[in-house]
Amino acid sequence: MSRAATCRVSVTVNGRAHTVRVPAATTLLALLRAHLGLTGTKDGCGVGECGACTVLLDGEAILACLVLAPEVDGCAVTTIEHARDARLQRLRRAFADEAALQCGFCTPGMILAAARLPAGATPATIRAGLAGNLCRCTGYTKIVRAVRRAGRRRGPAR
Amino acid sequence: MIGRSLTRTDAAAKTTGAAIYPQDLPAPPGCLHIAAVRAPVARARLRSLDATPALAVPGVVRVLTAQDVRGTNRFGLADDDQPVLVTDRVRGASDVLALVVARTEPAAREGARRVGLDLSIEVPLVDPEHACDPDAPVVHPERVASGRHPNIVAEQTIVHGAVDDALGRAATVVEADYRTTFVEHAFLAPEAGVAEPGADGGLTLFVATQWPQEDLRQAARALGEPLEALRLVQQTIGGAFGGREDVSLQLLLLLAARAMNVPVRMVWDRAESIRGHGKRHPFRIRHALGADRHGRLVAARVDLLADAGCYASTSAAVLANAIAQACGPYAVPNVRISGRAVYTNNPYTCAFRGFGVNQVTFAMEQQVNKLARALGIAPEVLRRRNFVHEGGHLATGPRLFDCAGLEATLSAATARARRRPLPRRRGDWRYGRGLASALKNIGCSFGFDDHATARVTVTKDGATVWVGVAEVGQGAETVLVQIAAEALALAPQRVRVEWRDTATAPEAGSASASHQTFVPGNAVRLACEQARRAIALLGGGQRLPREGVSATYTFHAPSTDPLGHAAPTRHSYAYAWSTCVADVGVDTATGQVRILRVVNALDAGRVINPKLLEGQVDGGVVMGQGYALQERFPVRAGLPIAGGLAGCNLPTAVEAAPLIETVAIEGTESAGPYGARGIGEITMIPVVPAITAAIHAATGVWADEIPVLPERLLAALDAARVAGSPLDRRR
Repeated sequence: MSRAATCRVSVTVNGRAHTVRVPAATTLLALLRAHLGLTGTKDGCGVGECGACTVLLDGEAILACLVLAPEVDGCAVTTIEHARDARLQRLRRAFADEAALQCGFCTPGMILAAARLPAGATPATIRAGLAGNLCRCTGYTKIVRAVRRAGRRRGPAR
Repeated sequence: MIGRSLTRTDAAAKTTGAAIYPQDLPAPPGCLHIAAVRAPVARARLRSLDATPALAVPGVVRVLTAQDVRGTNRFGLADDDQPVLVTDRVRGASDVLALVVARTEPAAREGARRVGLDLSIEVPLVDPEHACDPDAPVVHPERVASGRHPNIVAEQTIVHGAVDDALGRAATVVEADYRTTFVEHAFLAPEAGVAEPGADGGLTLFVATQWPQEDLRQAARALGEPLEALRLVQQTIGGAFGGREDVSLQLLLLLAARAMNVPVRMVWDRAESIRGHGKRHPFRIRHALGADRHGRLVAARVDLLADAGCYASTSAAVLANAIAQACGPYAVPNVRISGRAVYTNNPYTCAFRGFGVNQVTFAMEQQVNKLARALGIAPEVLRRRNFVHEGGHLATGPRLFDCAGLEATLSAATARARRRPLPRRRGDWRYGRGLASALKNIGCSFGFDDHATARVTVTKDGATVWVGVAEVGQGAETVLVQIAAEALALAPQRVRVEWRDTATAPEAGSASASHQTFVPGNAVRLACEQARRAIALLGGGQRLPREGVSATYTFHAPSTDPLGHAAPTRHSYAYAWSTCVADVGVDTATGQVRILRVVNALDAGRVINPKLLEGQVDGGVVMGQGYALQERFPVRAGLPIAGGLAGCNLPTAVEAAPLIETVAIEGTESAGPYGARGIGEITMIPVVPAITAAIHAATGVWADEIPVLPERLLAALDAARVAGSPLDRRR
C-alpha cells in the first residue's frame, strides 16, 4: 500500500460536513469508525454477509463495508448516531417498546435498513427488506413487530 | 415488579450506537496492535519458527513465541490441555503459533502472514468413529500414561435394570442411528479487546466474555500472573450462546501487554472468529427404545459418540449432560446409556445453548414419535403415559420434583396448535404437524458448587447492586433490576446493576446453563432482602445513614450428585421443560422445508419479564430451526471450510418461522427467585424433533440426520417413492 495513494473525501454525516484524507482503499465503514469515531455502525464480517454496517447513503440503505470512502465524496450519510432523524427516533422507541433487541449488535444496521421500508409495509415485505441483516438472538419476530409499530406511528406513506 | 415487561435497561444505549462493544474501544495512547500466527493445517509438528521476515515489515516491533510465556502456557475450562502459544505440536484450527506485535493493525496482520513456519505436516485425525482405533494418531501424546485410550476425553456408562431382557420382551422396539453436526455460534460481534498495564503492576483486560473470573484464573496459571494483579472489565457483549465461555483472545492480549508493558489491542475478523472459538458437538447416537403394547416405555439402550475436537474444553460435562438427559422427561425402568467424547484434530467443541441435551433430545423424541406410530397411539397420549410424575424417578436415577408443569406444557401446546388448521396440500407442497417435549437441567450439575455473590448498597438516592453476571443479550441486567426492585420495594428506575468490573462486582458464575436468573437472581434477591430488613431495623428509609446500608449474600444452589453416583438424590438442582408443536410445508419436488408456525409451551416457573421470555423463545425457536434444517459447518482435514457467515447458512428474516407462539406455564419452582426458572436453553431443545416429526407427518420420511438439507430430504423422498411409500396418497 503506497502512502501516496490517498484521497480527499468530503462527506456529510448526520448533517455535519467532514473533509478527511484517507487511503483510497479505505471503506466507508472504516471512515466512519476509525476516522470519524462513529462506532455505532458495527463491523460484523467486513464482506457484506451480515448487514451490521448498514447505513443510509443519500437516503439508500447500503453496506458500509462494501463501499469505498472516495465513492461517497459529496454524499450524505446517515448512521445510528443521528439524533434528530424522526424516522430513526420512531424506530428506536419501537425497538425499545417491543424488546426487539437483545445483544444489540445487529440493532444499528436493522434500524437503518428498516428506515428505508415503506410505512404500512406487511410483515412479509419487512422480512424481505431485512433479509440482508442477520440477527442471532431475536428470531426476528419482535424486530418485524417493532418495524410495523414504527410504521404505524409514522402515519400515511410518504 | 415481577411479571412486568419492564423496558430493557440497555435499550437506549443499543438503539443509539452508544453501547461500546470491544471492537469499538479506542486504541489507548501508545497502544500496540497484535495479530496471531496460525498454521495452514490442523495437525503438524512445529520444528521451528522464523520471525525475521515479520520483523522486516515496517511497524512490526516484536514477535512473541511460546518462550515468552512465563506460566504453564496451558489453559482450559476443565483440562489445561490448550497452549497459549504452540510449543511443538499443532492440533487444530484454534492453535496460535506466535503473536506479532506492531504499531498498526495492518502491520501486525502483514507480519503474521510473513512469519516463517517450518512444519512437519501429519495426517489429521478427523473421524471420531476411528479415534480409538489402535493405530489412530494420538492428539495429546502426553496423555498416553492415563490408562485408557489417549484420545478418550471422557467416557461413562449408566445402567439401571436389565436392558437386553426388557428389550427382548418389549412389544415394539424402534432402533436407529442419529447424526448431528458441528454448528457455529455465530454471535454477531467477533472477538476483540484491549489489555492495559497499570502503574501498580497489574493488568486490566477490556473484552466480552461469559465468565470473567474464570478467564482470569486461567490467565493466572497459563501466564504466571498473580491472580490479584488481573482485572477484567466487560464491554457490551455482542452475543455468546456458549461460544464465549472458553478463553479466546484474552490470554493473547494479557501476554502481549505484559511483554511490551504498554496497552495492546486485538481485533479478530469473522474468519478468525470462526477459527478461534469452539463449535457445537457433533453426535452419533445409536438408540433402541422399547415399549409394551400399552405404550409404556420398558427399556432404552443408548450409545453416544461426541466429537470433542482438538481440546477438551467442557466436553466431559457436555457428555455427562447428554447421558443424564438421554431419555428425556420419561420414566424408563431399564436403561443402558453409554457415551464417549473423543479427541480429533477437528475444531474443538464446547458449550452451546443446550449443552449436549439438544442432540440426545432430537434422538429420543424421534424415537418416541416412531414408537407412537408403530403402536398406533397418538404421540401426546404416549408421552402422557410415560412422563415422570411428581417424585418419580428419571431414567438415570434421581427423583424429579416441581414437575406438574411438564404435562401442562403438553396440553397447552397441543390445544394452542389446534386453533389453526394446516393448509391443504397444493401442487408439490405437503404439510405436516409435529410434536416434541423436552427437559433441560438448570445450572451446573453433577456436584459442582453452583453459586453467586451479590452486594447491594441502598442510599436515599436508590440502590446499587454489584453482581458479576454477563449481560450477553438475554436481559440479565433488566431481570436483576426487577428482582432487586421487588425485594427492596423500590421503583426500578432507582436500581442500578453493576456487573462489568471484576474489581467491584463479585463472582456470579458463568453466564451459561440457564443459570443467571436462577442463581445470581437468588443472590440479588437475598442480599436485597437482607438490606431491607436492616433498613427496617434502623427505623425505615428516612433514617438511612449517608453512606447507606449494605448487604452481601452468597447463594449456593442446592447440592447435586455426580453422574455415576450409586444412589443419586439429584444430578441437577432444577429443570425446565417444554413442549413444542411445529407446522411445516415440504416442497416434495425440491426437498425444501418451510416453517409455517411454531408453538412453544414452556414451564418457566414464575415469569419475571414476559417480553424478555418471549424474546428467548423466539430466538431459541429460530436457532433450533437453523439447526434442524439449514446450518452447516463443513470441516475438511480438520479446518473449517466456512470462512464467513454465509458459509454457515444462518436463518434470515425471510426463512425464520413467521409465527412463533409462546405459551408460558407458570409451574411451581421451589428454589428459584420468586419461583422463576432459567429458560435460555429449553426454548431451543424440542424444536428440532418437532420439525422432523412434522416433516414425517407431511411426507412419511423420518430424517435421522440433521440438518435436513433439501438435497438430503429429496434423496429420501426419491427413495421412498421407489419403495412405494404412501407419500402421494397422503394429505
